[in-house]
Amino acid sequence: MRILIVDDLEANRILLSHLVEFHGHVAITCGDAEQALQAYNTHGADLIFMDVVMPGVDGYVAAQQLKGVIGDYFVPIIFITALQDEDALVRCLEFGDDYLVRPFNQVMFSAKIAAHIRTIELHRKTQKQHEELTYLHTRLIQEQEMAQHVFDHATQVNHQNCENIQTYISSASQFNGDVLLIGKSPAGGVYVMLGDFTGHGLPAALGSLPLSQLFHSLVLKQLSVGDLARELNSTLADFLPDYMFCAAVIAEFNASGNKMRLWSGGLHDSLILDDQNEVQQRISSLHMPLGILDDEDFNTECGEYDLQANNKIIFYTDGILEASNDRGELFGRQRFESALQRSKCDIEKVRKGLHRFTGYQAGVSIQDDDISLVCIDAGEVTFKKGEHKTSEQEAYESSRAPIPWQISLDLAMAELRSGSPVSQLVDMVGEATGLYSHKPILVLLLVEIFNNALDHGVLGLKSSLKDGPGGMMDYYSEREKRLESYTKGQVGIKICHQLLSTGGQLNFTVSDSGEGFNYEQVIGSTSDESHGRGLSLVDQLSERMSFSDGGRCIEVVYIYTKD
Amino acid sequence: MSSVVSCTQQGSRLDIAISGRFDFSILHDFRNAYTLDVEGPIEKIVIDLTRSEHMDSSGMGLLLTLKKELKLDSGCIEIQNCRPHIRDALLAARLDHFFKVD
Repeated sequence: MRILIVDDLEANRILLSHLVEFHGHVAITCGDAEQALQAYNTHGADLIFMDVVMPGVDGYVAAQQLKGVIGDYFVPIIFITALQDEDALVRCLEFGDDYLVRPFNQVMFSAKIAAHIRTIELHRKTQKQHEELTYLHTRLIQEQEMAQHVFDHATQVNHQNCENIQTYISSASQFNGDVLLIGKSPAGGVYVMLGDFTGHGLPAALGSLPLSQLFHSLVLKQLSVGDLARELNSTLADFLPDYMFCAAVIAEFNASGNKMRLWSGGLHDSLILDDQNEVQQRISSLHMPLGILDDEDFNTECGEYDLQANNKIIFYTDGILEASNDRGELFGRQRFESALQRSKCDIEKVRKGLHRFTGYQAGVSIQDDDISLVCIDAGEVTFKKGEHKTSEQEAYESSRAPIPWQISLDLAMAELRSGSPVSQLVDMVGEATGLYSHKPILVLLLVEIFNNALDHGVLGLKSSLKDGPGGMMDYYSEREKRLESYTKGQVGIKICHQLLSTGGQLNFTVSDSGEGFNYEQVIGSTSDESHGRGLSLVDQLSERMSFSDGGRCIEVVYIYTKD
Repeated sequence: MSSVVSCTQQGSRLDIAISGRFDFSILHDFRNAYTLDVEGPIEKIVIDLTRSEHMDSSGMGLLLTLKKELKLDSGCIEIQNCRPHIRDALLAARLDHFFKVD
């Protein structure tokens, strides 16, 4: 320890520094307050002995000045004084931390030093722990903010604007262990998943991140709810610890909203309400929660329900039934179902009713589990336009402006034989900014005009072949034969994308090395024959279609408007 | 992704589900679905396109061949759960005259 000794008498300084050094400490001596300040600033000190009576600035004032410099740091000042009156000693304790009355013996001096060093060490330890704690706390807050950001972002994508769906979601802590996922199905319907992870808070919420990513990618594949549940189950089983799992319902509604397929594992009964908002059917959970069973034991069985347009479907997690007031009463099933009925399924009113019961808002009781409630109106599924982007692709697109471009390629027999060059081409076109949502129709147009050029142009196949005894079988086996054996032939494809103020325009020009055909005969045919439909379909779905070079070259114009 | 045709028969009703592309690439599988494994006369066919993302005129040709080969009346074949662009194409080709499009 460094010990600063402040005394105007040299004899005292020498005596004290000997004593200090005898105990194995370093002594720094000074004769007045000014020197003391300077010494403290230069060398620092762990403990200070201070004479009270000094010429000029006395010990009390010197102590005050030193304390000012020392600040929050803990350096005890012990006054050494011959004064014995109560007043003087009280002042010693007021301006310093202790006193030693002269004359003192060595034993007393040693005891004082030892006692103060214990206090200093204790103080240092506390100080260090406090600093560590402050550091950890700051880091924790930063980490939580980061996590919050990630979760907010993930859930933002999840809550798509499906107009059939009302939700009430409230988490017990900063992070929600319940997860609600809504995905627009490619077929125009909607998938809804409500899950409740074991526990609540951050550990429970963690599981929702991979779950939501996977859910959205599976929805795009239009997986059946059973298969979707199986995929989610095996992912969760892989990465969740054994004691964690996710009770869930997964439902798919078709576009007209009159059919629901439902897989449910471990969650409370789902409800179908009638036009009076009374419970018409309870659907109990058939399976165990997600994340428990191995893939081979997993059961994908799901229920199929026919719905009327005035039906409502209710999914919820147990938080709402188990919400309690300050008397320890639970909200319970009866209150919940009657709240649904009285409010005519206005979820906002149900929420208010729950809060009146529990007194959450008035701070009477504390919500101790996550609460989620979802109400889905049966009947045609509709989405609000704009605001919420659905897929990553769309989010990506909105960040880029579309550009005009042009591609052209010539395909020789080798490429024509090799599977489907058109699907590659369409993938490229579909990736182009602004065209993602038009991809299905672009695929159709390009496939039709390409097949037309290949089949009837390059390969010289006649549609009438399909009318023969073997019908389409004959036609396609002949096609395969010619595709293999022909050595000459070419299809040229040119696609040009232009921007219009309302959207854009695509021009497809496809030419072939065949003999051409009488196109006037083909267009306008709407017979129920199993052929001759391709080009009239193109004609119907495009802006215009025209031929040149005796039918060897076709140009199709497709105009789209911005979403 | 290659396409899969699966079918189940219940009495005189036949359900055929297509996943993947609905075009001439499934010609054989599609014909087998209503010719090979079928017992007794078929009066109603339901084609589920929930998991089909593409249909072109060759797929429509398959549908028309099916109708012709089984000599079924309009309305006996139902096409269910088609994606919006497939429905548009079916309607554009006026196939709703021959098939019940859901």
